[in-house]
Amino acid sequence: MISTLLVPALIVVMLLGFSLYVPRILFPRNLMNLIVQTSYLAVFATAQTLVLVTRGFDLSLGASVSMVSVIAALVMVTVAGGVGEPVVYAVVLGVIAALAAGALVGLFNGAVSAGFAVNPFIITLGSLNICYGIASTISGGRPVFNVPAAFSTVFYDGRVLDVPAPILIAGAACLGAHLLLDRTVLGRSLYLIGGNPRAAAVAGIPVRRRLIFAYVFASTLSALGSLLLTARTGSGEPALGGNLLLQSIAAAVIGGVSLRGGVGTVRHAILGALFITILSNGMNLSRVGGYVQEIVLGVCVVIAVFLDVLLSRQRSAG
Amino acid sequence: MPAFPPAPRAAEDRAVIGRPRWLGRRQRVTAHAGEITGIAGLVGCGKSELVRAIYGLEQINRGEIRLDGALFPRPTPGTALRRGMCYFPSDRVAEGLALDRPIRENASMAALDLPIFSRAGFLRRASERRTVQALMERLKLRPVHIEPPVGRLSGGNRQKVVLARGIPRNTRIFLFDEPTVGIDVGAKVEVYEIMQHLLAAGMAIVLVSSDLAEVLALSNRLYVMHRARVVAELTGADINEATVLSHFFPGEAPPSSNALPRATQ
Amino acid sequence: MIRLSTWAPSRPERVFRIGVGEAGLLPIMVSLLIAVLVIFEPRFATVQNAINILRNASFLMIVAVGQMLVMIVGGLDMSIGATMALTSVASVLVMTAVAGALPDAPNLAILTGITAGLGCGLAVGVINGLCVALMRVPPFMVTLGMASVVGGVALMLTSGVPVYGLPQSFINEVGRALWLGLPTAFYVALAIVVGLALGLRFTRPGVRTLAVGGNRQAAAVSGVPTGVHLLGAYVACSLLAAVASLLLTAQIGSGQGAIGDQLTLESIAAAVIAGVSLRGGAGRPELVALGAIFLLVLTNAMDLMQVDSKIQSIWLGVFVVLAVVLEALGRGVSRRG
Repeated sequence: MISTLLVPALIVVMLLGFSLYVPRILFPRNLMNLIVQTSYLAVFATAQTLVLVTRGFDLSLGASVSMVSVIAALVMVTVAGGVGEPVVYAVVLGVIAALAAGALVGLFNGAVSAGFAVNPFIITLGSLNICYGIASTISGGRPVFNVPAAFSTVFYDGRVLDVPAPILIAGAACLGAHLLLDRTVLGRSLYLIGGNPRAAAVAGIPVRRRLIFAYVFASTLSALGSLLLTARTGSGEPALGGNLLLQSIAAAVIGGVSLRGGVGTVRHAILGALFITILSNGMNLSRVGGYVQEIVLGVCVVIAVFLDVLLSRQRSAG
Repeated sequence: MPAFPPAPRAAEDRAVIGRPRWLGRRQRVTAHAGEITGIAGLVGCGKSELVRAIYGLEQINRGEIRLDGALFPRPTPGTALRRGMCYFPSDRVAEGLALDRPIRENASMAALDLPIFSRAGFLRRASERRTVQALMERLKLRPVHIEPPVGRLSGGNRQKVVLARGIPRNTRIFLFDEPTVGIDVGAKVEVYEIMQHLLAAGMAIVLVSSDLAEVLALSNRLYVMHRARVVAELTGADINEATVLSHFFPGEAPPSSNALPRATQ
Repeated sequence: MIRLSTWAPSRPERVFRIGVGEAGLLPIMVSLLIAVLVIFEPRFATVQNAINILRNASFLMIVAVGQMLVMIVGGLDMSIGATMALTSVASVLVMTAVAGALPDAPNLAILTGITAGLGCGLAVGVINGLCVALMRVPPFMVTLGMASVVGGVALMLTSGVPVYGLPQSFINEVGRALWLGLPTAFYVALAIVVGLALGLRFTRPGVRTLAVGGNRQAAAVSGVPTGVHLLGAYVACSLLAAVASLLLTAQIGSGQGAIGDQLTLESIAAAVIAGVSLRGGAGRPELVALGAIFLLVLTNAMDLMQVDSKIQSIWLGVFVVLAVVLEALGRGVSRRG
C-alpha cells in the first residue's frame, strides 16, 4: 500500500517544495513543458521497463538513441536533397530507417543474450559501444543538419486538439506497451520469465523467442523516442543519447519496476519519468549546476535501488 | 471444467540417454493409461533425467518416444504439453514456480494458449480467475485465495499449484518427479488422492521417486534403474522390497532388510 | 556438485573446447597477433612502441585485475572510471595545496596527495562493498549509480578543466621514469599481478574469495565470512583503480576529470577475454594481464593502421560480445527452448 502511494506523494511534495523556491515551476507554461519533457523520458523508461521485467537490462539505450538519430537524419537529408521527391518520402523513409535500426539493435541484444544464455549486461554493453561507434563514425562527430522541416513540424510542433504531438505519440506508444504487458499472453509470459526463467521454460513458454521480442520491442520504442527528440532539435545528434541510459533506469526503478525482474508496469515507468523530469526541471529553474545534477541523479538511483531491495524482501517475506 | 476423456491411452518410450558407451541393451519404458508406472533407483541413477528427457528438458542422444504409438520426435516442454504430457519438477522453487507472481498466474502458466485463458493473444482475466479458483478449490488449496504471491504458500500448497497446471489441458500423461519431497504428511496424502483421481479418469502416471516405500506402494509397474540403465521391469508380486533392492545393487549382496526402517513388517 | 555415479547426466556436451590446456586460446591469440604485426607492420616492432604498449597495458592490467576480483565474487564494477577520475583530481588538488603551503617539502606533498588519492579509492570501494554485501543490492546498479555520483563530484571539483601544479618530482620519478628501460607503472603492475596470482591461490583470504564467488551459500555454511570477502573485493578493486589513476596522472602530468572513461569497459573486456566468468568463482590474474596486453596490442595495431578511435569503439564492443559468447559456448551452454 505504502509503495503505491509513495512516488506520487513524493512528486507532489517535490513540486510544492520547488514552488516555494521558484514559483515559476507551477506556471501553466512550465507545467505543459514538464508534461512534454516527461513524455520523452516516459518512452525510454517504458522501453527499459519491458526489458527489466524479464530480468534483463538494456544498456544500449542511450547509444542506440544517438545512432538512430543520426541514421534517420542522414536518410532524410539524402532522400530529400538528392532525389528531389516530395519531402514526405524523405520523412517516411527516415522514420522507417529509424525504427528498423532500432529493431536491429534489439534483435542483436535479444538474440545473442537469449540465444547463448549470456548475461544481457555484457551484450548490451557491447552494443552500447558499437552503436556509439557507428553514430560517431557516420556522423563524423558532428550534428547532421538540413533535416527537412516537415519532420519537425509533424513530430514536434504538430498539435491535435491543441495537444502537442510528442505527448500524443509518446502516449500512444506507452499505451501500446501497457496493453501488451498487461493484457496479452505475451506480456504475461514476460513477467513469468522475469519471475523464474526456468519455471517458465518448464511450463512450455518459448523463453528465447519471447526475450528476443522484448528486446526488439524495447529498442524499437526507444527508436521512436529518438525520432521525437530528433524532431525537437531538428538535426541528427550523435550525442543525443547522453544521460538517457541512467535516466531511463532511474525512472523505471524509482517508479517501482524491480531490478530482480517479474515486477513493474508501464504506469511505474511513467511515474518515475515524471519524478525525474520534475526533479530535473526544478533543479534547472533553481540554477543548480550540471555536475551537481548528475550527482543527484546518481544518488537517486542508489536510493531507488535500495528501496527496491527492501520492497522485494517485504514482498517475499510478507 | 474440461472433462477427462475416459478412453485408455498408452505411452511407450524407448530412450537411451547418457554416454554412447551404454549402447547395446535396448531399454524400454512403457506407461499405460490407468496405471502408475514407477521408476525407482538410487540417487544419481538417472531416473529423473529419463523423465526429463521425455519431456524435453534433457537432450536425447539415442532412442525414441512414442505416444499412442505415434512417434514424438524432438520433445520440448511446449510440444509435450500440447501432446498431452505434463511434467512436475522435483525442485519446485527452482523450476516450478515464479515465487513473486500470484498463485493464479502460476497455475495458468502452462496453459495460457487455451481458450479458457486467452483469446487471440489477449488474456481473459475474468475467465482465468474463475477457472483457477474452481481448480484450486478442487485441489483443496487452503485457504483458497489465488491472488497472493505463491511464495507465501507452504510446500504442500505450492505442490498443488504446480499440479494444477496439468489439469486445464487435456493432459493424459503425468510425469511426477519426486512429488512428495518436502511436503508434510497431510499434504502427501492429498497428493496421492489426486493421483488416484487421475487414474480413475484414465490417465497414465509416471512416478519417479527416491522414496522406496512410496514407490512400492503406488506402482502398478515398476522399473528399476541403475547407472543410467533400466535393469528391471517388475509387475505384480515382484514389486516388493527385497526384489527391488536386489536390483539396486546388481551383482552385490543387498543390505539386509533390518537396515531399512520399516514401520510394519 | 557431487556426482555419485561414473557417468554424466545428458547435459548436451557440445563443448566448444576453446583452447589448449587450462589457459585457453589467449596465449596463442596474443602470440599470433604479435607475430602478424611484427611481420607486416615495421613500426610495431620498435623498442619505443613496445614500451608504450607496456606502459598503457600496465594501467589496464591493474584496473582489470581489480575488476576480476569483483567478477570473481559475482559482481561487476561500473564505477572504475569515475573512481579514477576522482582519485586523479583529488590527489592533484591535495598535492598542489600542500606544495603551495610547504614549498620545501615536496615529498610531503606527494605523500599526502597519494594518501588522498588512495583514500578516494578506499571510500568508493567501501560504499560499493557495503551496499552489495549488507544490502544485497545488485552490484551493477549500485556501481552505476556511484559512477554518476563520483564522476559528478570529480567534474565538479575541476569544473571540467585539468588541474595543474603537480610537483615535478612526482611526474619525473613516478610518471615518466624508466627503470631498466621499463616504465614504473609496469613494475607496479607486475608486482600486483604476481601478488594477486599467488594470493588467490595460496593464501586463505584468496581461496575464500574464490569460494564465495563459486557458491556463496556453500561458503557461508563452511564458515567463511562472506560479507567480509565481498567487501574486500570491492575495496580492492577501487583501490587498484586508484593506484592506476595515480600512475596515470603522474604520467600525464595533471589531474584529469575524465580519466578512465574507456577503462571501465576495457577492464571488463580484458577480464572476460581472459576467461573470467561473469558467474564468478574463477579468475586468473596472469591471464587477465595477458588479456590487457592483447587489447593494448590490438589498439596499438589499429592506431598504427590509422583506424579512427570511434571505429575502435565498435571493435571493442564486438570483441567483448564475441569473448563472452565464446566463453558461454565453451561452458557447453546450449539449452533447448
